[in-house]
Amino acid sequence: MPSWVPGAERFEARDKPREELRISPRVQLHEEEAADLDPITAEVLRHRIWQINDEQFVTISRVSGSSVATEINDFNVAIMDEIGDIAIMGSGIVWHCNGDQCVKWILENRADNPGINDGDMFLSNDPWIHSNHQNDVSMLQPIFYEGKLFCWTLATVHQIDVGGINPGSFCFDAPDTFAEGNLFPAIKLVENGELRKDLEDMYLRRSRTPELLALDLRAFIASANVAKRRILETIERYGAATVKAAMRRMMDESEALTRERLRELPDGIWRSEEYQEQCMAGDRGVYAVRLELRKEGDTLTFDFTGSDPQAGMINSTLGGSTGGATAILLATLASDIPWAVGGIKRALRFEFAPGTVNCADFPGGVSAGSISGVYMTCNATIVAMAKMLASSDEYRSHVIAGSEGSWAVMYFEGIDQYGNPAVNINMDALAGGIGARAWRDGDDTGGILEAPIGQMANVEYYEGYYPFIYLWRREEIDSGGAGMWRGGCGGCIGLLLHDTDAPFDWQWFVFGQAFPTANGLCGGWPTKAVEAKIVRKTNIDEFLDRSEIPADSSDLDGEVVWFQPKGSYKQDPRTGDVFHCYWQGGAGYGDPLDRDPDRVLRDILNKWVSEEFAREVYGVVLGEDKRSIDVAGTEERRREIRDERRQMATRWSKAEEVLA
Amino acid sequence: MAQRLDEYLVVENGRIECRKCGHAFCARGDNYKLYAMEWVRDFLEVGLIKRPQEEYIDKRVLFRQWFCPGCFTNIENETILEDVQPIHDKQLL
Repeated sequence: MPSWVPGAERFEARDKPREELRISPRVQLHEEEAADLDPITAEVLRHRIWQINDEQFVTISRVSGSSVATEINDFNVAIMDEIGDIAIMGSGIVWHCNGDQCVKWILENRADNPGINDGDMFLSNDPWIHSNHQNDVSMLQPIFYEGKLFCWTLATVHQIDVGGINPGSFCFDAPDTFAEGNLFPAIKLVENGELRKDLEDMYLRRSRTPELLALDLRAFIASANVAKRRILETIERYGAATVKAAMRRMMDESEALTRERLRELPDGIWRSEEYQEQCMAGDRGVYAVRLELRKEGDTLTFDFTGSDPQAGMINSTLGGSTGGATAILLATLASDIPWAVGGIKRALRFEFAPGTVNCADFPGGVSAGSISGVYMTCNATIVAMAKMLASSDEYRSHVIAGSEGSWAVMYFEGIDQYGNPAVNINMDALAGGIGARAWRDGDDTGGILEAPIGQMANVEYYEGYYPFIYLWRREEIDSGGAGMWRGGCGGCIGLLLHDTDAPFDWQWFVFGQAFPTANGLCGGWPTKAVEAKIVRKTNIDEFLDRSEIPADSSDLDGEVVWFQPKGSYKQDPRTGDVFHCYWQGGAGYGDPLDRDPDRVLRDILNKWVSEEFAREVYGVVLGEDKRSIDVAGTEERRREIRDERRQMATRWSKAEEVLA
Repeated sequence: MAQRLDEYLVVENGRIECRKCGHAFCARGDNYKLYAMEWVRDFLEVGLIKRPQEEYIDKRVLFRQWFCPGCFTNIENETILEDVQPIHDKQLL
């Protein structure tokens, strides 16, 4: 990791194999495993460890007071062996599977000073060690048994604000990481069971929402305590060597299943190229992540070395990007293989070029790493992985087209209806559209592929805590990518402020606004690109006086201010300003002309597809009653579209030149 | 023996062919897009963006569609920077 900052290389973490780790003899690892583990005990223990992992997860959501954890599940937890290899992880945000790298870094860098002992917990958010961006704060706990380090627990929760130049810490005005949220490179925040007050103050002092961070800190500790108690109870009952053997078997079995699946797929190379516009506020560039996915035998290599140089604050690091690519593999190829990631990763190879947009050198801007560099890595992986799976008759059922091509971040700050400062994030965009499968439509507002149990909060949550009225929250028409199988629709919200005179600031961060970024497969179309605007000085009062609610911003009169993909925008409650945001759906699969017209009719009747879009893209014409298909008209329209293709399409202009 | 490449393409007798009409594109290791038909479209024109790209970026990112020259089935699409060579996206070894 080249960097002009002296000593930066010390914070480089890699997913090293056991034999390469250099660990101080002051830490004794528990490495004994029972040789005679019977299958029934192994299965009982697998489910028990799974249950402990679930309890870790639930404890976070019950104890935290932050909507990120209590409402939308923007976090995850894992149980790892003594060197950090993941035996099991939850189904929250899956790219947090990169916590293994942090354990390895702690083992190599914290064993002598300040030491790794029973009762300690380490807090870390340093992207160069493992995190996706500074907001993704992890708590790592070593668990000892009879003086030996037996295993680790991991919890990673998105924090609302960890400092930096922009509220919410997605610092689109920051030229590098020195203007972003603080980096905490695995500091021992809990020592011998006691929370270090001085370090807690240092951690909270930089945040605009210290009370929410403090609540999450207690949730971290509660979750770790629960997991530790359960694991020690399990060891007491079954014996440490038996439990360790079960953890090893979980990883070995997942590795074997992954390798077996890879062997069943044809050897080949699949390539993808995915973009993001604007590397920070005011920029006008386009940046690419390029993937060459190589499958040979039972090994899969993710080669991202062709990606663009790092730029602005949209970058991610090696740890974040590795987690992103792995998350997509888990959600597609390995969706039915137990997520013992420590085993699965043995079948994977990752290649990145230092100084690139998804392998940034310190001190490149990384504050939006999770939803920019990592997300672009995910987008590139979804497409290449799907094309690999589409080459197999057996595994084409695992194909998923591009899914919600970006995660629209909607931070707001202002004075709430109770007179208190309000800083939080609206996470409704977690209900994006999932891409089409090779055998059925994608899920409308189904979520984010990398967050299987992520969800949008209830409208009542935001309306209760903040001065918002939801004028609408709905699925967006024509947002599911067209195809033989349609992508899932994205969503759209319209928000009005009430009972406050203070303007709200929206910190808007997204990509996929200048062009769509959830891309289709085999002729499937991409979704519709993101839209965001504020309609100022509206006539909303006229609607409310009539006890009516507008269904869309186009119903309102007013001055429209379209957002740039990164920027800050004011919404004034005194003039009836309305915030409008649409986030992406999923992409389609197959030629839209191959879609069953009856499915298009159903889509029209459900307002997922407009009559115009159906005619222009699917070539489907409705009968006069608007509730049936005009069969002859549809056949004729599809003929017209094919004729138009014949007229408009040509050989690529440089084909002969390249072939020569 | 025929080997599936994707929904519409198959490798048979060492050549990539259309599964719908049998059109032969090229040898198995070549980029089929160099032998396919291309229609480059503007995202605004097809209704997938709301505002002109020049409001956001200096470059152009286009919707590039690929068709089988035999039956004009839409076999693949790309969201692609202008002037970027067709991506060799599928290559069986």
